[in-house]
Amino acid sequence: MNRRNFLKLGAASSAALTATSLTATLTGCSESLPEGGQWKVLRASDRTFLRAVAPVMLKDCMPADKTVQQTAIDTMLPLMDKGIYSLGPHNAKQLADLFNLLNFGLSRSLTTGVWSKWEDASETEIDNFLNKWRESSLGLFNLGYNGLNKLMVATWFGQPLSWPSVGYPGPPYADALITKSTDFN
Amino acid sequence: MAIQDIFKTRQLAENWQVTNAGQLTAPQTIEADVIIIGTGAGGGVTAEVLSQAGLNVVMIEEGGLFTSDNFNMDELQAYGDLYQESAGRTTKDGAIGIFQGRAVGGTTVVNWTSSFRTPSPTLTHWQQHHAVTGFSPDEMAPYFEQMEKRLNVAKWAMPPNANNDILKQGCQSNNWSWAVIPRNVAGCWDLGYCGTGCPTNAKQSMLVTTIPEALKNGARLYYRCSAEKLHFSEHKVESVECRAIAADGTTPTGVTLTFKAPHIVLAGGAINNPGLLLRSNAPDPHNRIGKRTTIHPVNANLARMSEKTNPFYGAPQSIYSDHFQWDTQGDMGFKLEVPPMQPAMGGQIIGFHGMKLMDTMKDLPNLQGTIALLRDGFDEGSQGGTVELDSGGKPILDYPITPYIWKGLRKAHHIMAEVQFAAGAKSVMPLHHDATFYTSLKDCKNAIDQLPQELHRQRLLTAHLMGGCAMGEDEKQAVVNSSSRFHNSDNLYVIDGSVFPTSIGANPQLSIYAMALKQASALVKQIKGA
Repeated sequence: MNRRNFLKLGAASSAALTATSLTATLTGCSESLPEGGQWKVLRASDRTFLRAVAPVMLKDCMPADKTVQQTAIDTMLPLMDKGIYSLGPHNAKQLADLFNLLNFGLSRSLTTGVWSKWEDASETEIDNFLNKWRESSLGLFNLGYNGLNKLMVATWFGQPLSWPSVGYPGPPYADALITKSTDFN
Repeated sequence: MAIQDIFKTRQLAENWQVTNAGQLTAPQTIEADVIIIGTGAGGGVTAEVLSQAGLNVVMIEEGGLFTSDNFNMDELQAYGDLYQESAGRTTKDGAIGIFQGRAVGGTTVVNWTSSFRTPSPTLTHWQQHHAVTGFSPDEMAPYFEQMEKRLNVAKWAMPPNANNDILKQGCQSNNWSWAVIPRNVAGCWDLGYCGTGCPTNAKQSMLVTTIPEALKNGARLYYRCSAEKLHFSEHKVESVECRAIAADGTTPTGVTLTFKAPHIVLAGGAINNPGLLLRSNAPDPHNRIGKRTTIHPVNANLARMSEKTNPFYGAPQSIYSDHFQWDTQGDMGFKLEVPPMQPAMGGQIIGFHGMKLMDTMKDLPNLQGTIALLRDGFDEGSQGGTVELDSGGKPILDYPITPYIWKGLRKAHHIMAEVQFAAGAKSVMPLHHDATFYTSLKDCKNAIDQLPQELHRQRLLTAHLMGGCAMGEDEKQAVVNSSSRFHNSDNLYVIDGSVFPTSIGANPQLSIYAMALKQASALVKQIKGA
C-alpha cells in the first residue's frame, strides 16, 4: 500500500482541524448534552456519526445484516460512552474536539471529504474518509483515525457476537469461573 | 462457586475495615500512624510491612474494589473497571498507549505475572550514575529472595503456550539466548486471563496477599478515594485531602476526606505520584518532579503461523530473551517477550479497518505476537519523559521518541521478524501504519527499513511506568533519597516504581516489591526508633 497515492489533505483542512472547536462554539453548533440523562459524553450527533461510521470501520467484521448491525451498535454505544467518560481531561477534550470537527458541516466537509450529513453518507464516502485520515501525511489525522479505530474495534471485538467470526471460543471454564457480582465496586 | 472470594470469606471473619468512600455522605477526618496512598506493588508491600510492625496504617486507593467474583475474563469489563482511563490512557501527543492498573491492588491485579529481579547492570548503573546507595546486587539479594518466597515466584513449570513457544523456537534457531519466565502464581490454571483480573486467585497480586494481610493486622482501606492534594507546612506534609469517587469510577461525589498522620507514603505509581506532588505545589527547587519518567516503549510484530497458536489461552508470558538487552554496541537494548491476544486487545493493535482488519482477525487462532520492550533512561539519547498537569489538573506524560529510540524500534522490528520467520511464520507484519504481511524475511526486512519513523504511524505501547520521582543522594538530580524520603520534606516518602532513576530492563513488579520491602523495613526502624 502506498499512502502517497491517497488524496492529501491540504492546508485548509489542517487549519479547520485546529479552528473547529472555536468556530463550532461561536456559531452555536456545539450541541450540549442534557444533564442527568443516559449519556455522559456522546451527544445525539456523536451517536449518529458512530452509527454511520462503525459499519464501515467494521465492514466484513460485523454481520452484513443492517438490523443486526444496528442492534450491535445499540449495545456498543453505551460502552463507548462510558469509556470516553473515564478518560482524563486531556484525552476527553481531544475526542470532544474531534467530534465537534466531525459534526460541524464546514469542517466535516473540508477534512473528511464527506459533503452530506453522516446519516446520508454512502459507504464509499465513509470508507474514503477513513482511508484519507489513515493515509494522511498529517499526524493529527492519523491520530484521529487511530482514536476512532481503537474505540470501535476494541468495543466490537469485546462483544461475544463477534467471537465466532474470529475463531475465539470465549473464556474457558465459563461455567465454573464466570460469576456475576457487584458487591463492592 | 468454584473459587472462594477472599474479600467475602475473610472480611467478616477477620473484621476487616474496608470503606467505599463513594458511599459516604459527610466529610471525614481520619488519623493514623502512616497513610499510604496507592495499593499497588509498592503500597501493598509497604502496608504489609508497616502493619506487621504494629503500626496503625491507612491505605487509600482511587480505584474500585474488584475481587475474584468480579473477574470474568471479560475484556471490556476489565478495561473499564481495572485500568487507568479505561485502558485509554495515552502519552500527551496520543502516540503511545498506556496500560496501567487502577483498582485495589493496582497494576498487580492486571499484570501478566512476569517476575524478574532487577538486573545487576541496572543496579550498578544507579550506583554509578544516579548516586543511589544501598542498592547493590548483594545488598538487594535478600529482599528479592524474601519477596519471591512471599509471592510464590518460580519459573513456570508447565510447557509454554504456542505463542511463547514460537519465541523460544525462533531464538533457538538463531542461536540466541532465551529463558523461562518466573511467575508469581500459586495453583495457576494456565488460563491466559491475567490481564483481566485472575478469576482463580492464583496470581499472587497485592489483592490476595499483602492487602489481606495488612487488613488482618488492623490496617484500614479506603477505596474510591482519590488523593487530590498534600498540604505542606514548612518541611512536613500536614494532611492529605481526598475526593470520594462515585461507583462510575470517575465522578467526584462532592465528599472530601482528610487524612492525617506523622508519616505519609506515596505509592500511586509513576504518572500519578508526580501528578499529586505537582498539584500540591510540593517544594521542588531543582524542578525534578515528573522528570525522567521511563516506560519501556514497546513495539510489536504479528506473525501468521501454519499451526494453531490460540494466543488467547495459556500463561500469557513464559519465555523471554535478553539476547539483545545488554551487549548492544551502542544501540538501545530490549527484552523480547510475547503478549496474550484476546480479541479486543488483538483487534485494536492491528490498526486497519474493514476488510483488511478482518483479513487479519479471522486468523486470530493462528496469529503470534512478539513484543520488544526497549530499555530507556540509560543513554544520553533516551532520558525519559516528563509528567505535567493538564487543564483539569490531571497528570499527563509527555514522552519524546528520540532518534536513538527510533533506531532501537527499527532494530527490534528486524530481530522480531528474524525470530518469527525462524520459527516457521508464513508471513510477518511489523505493527506500523505502512506495513502489511510479508511472506519472506528478506521482503519484511526491506519493508522495515522503509517504514516512516513518524508518530501515529508507528504503533507504540507501554505497560511499565517508572520514574518521575527518581531516587538518589543528589538533591539537584533526584526527588527522593536512597531511603525513599522526599528530599524537601521530613515525613513524606515515595515507595513504588516512580523512584526508579532509569527503566528496569525487565518487567518491573519484583523490582518494586523488593525495593518496597527494603524501604518499608527501614521506615519501621526509623519510626520505632524515633
